[in-house]
Amino acid sequence: MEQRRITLSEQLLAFLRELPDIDLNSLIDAYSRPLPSSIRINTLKTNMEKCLSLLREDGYLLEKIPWTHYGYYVSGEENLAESIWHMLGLVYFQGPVSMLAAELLDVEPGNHVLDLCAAPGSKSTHIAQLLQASGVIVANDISVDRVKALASNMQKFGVINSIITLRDGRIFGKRYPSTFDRVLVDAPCSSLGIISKDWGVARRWSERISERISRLQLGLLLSGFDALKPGGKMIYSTCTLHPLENEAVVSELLEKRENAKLENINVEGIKTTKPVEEWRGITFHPDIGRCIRIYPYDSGAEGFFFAKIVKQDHGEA
Amino acid sequence: MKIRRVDGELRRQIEHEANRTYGVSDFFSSYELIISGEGRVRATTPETLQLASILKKVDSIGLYVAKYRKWGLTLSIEGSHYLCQQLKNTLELDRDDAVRWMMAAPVEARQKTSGKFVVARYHGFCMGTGVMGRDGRAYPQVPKWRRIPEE
Repeated sequence: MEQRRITLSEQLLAFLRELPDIDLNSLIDAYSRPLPSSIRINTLKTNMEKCLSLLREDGYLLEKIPWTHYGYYVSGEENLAESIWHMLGLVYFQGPVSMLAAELLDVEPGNHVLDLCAAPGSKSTHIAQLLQASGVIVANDISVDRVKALASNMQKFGVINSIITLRDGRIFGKRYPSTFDRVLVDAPCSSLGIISKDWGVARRWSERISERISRLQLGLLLSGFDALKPGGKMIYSTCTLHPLENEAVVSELLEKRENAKLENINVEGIKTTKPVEEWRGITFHPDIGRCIRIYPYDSGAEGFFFAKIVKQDHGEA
Repeated sequence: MKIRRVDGELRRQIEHEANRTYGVSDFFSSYELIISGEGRVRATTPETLQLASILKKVDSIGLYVAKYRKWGLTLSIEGSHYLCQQLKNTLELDRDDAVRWMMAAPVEARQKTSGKFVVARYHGFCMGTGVMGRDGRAYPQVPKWRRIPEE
């Protein structure tokens, strides 16, 4: 059957054409394809070898996602989402590029980690698995309904060292300054990187949405940074392509907090694109080139933006 | 969230019940236990509880491991998973029965069991408590959101 091709609005097309280094045709092709089905294996409940063997025994075809430790593309006649293994929490469905957020955070067992916008729990469960039940994961979200989903997923994953909080993430920096070793700000965004999942995103998008949401994103990023201990690390990620929600937000953090520094991000197994350094007459911070963009046609899945930020100790150059 | 720690006599009662019903000799002894409404027992690390004490608007802490009521102690899927190596009163299931169990459908007890409660096991994974009926079948206590949907 021939794949239907998405039709984008003139406004969205005009915006996408403005992006440097983008292959618009490939992007529209990628938007028109469904996302691949992918899972992360829960090493809190089983080990990789055993889980892979059980899944293969049940007829599932698995292919390693090269840039992740625990991620696999999965296919098969049976619906894995309705299998015993999924219901027991041995596997977690998650987009392949989304898995990078926790992978890039350099989590070490024993860390105190804050996931500021945690629901429905994909990254928090991943962080919990990297903590290996040592240290603490604080998973926060502002929405009551979304926190229910988060709590269910943390339970199903078997996370014993978790605290789930229900509040505006922008308050953490003020209330709990210099408290966490690692912070993840996977910010709410206009979702232009995951249009394949929901074509409605493309229909609903407007410049205004990106402008408005970028203020919220900056508030969250500043709060997350302030909650970070000196020497701590933070990942800022979004699943969108708009520079106002990505490079502009990170650039402003670097202007506002002089002890915030960007680290280079090296990911093997996936093509990345350099970030936007200038947008509509505004030149971003000179270090912004250390962030990465991943376009849907680079990954064969979602589009994402990642920045890795370190909070320097006072006096550190 | 009001945190009610389980210690002293209540903790001893729960440990006793875990031992009597499931043969568990170490019921989360290195963890803190907290209890919330309807006798839901959650386990977490001392470090987690300490950090939670300084945070506001805490929705939940740690893992729901068991439910303690006057008529007995039932283990959640995760509670039984953590204690799996120690559990004595278990039902080994084949694939069909394991699927039925996760649909919360009653399962024929093909082995000898004792007492009111059993824990199902499939491929080495413990799958929570079932209540033994007089008809010789185990009635799984699988929450709705964890069930395999019926076709």
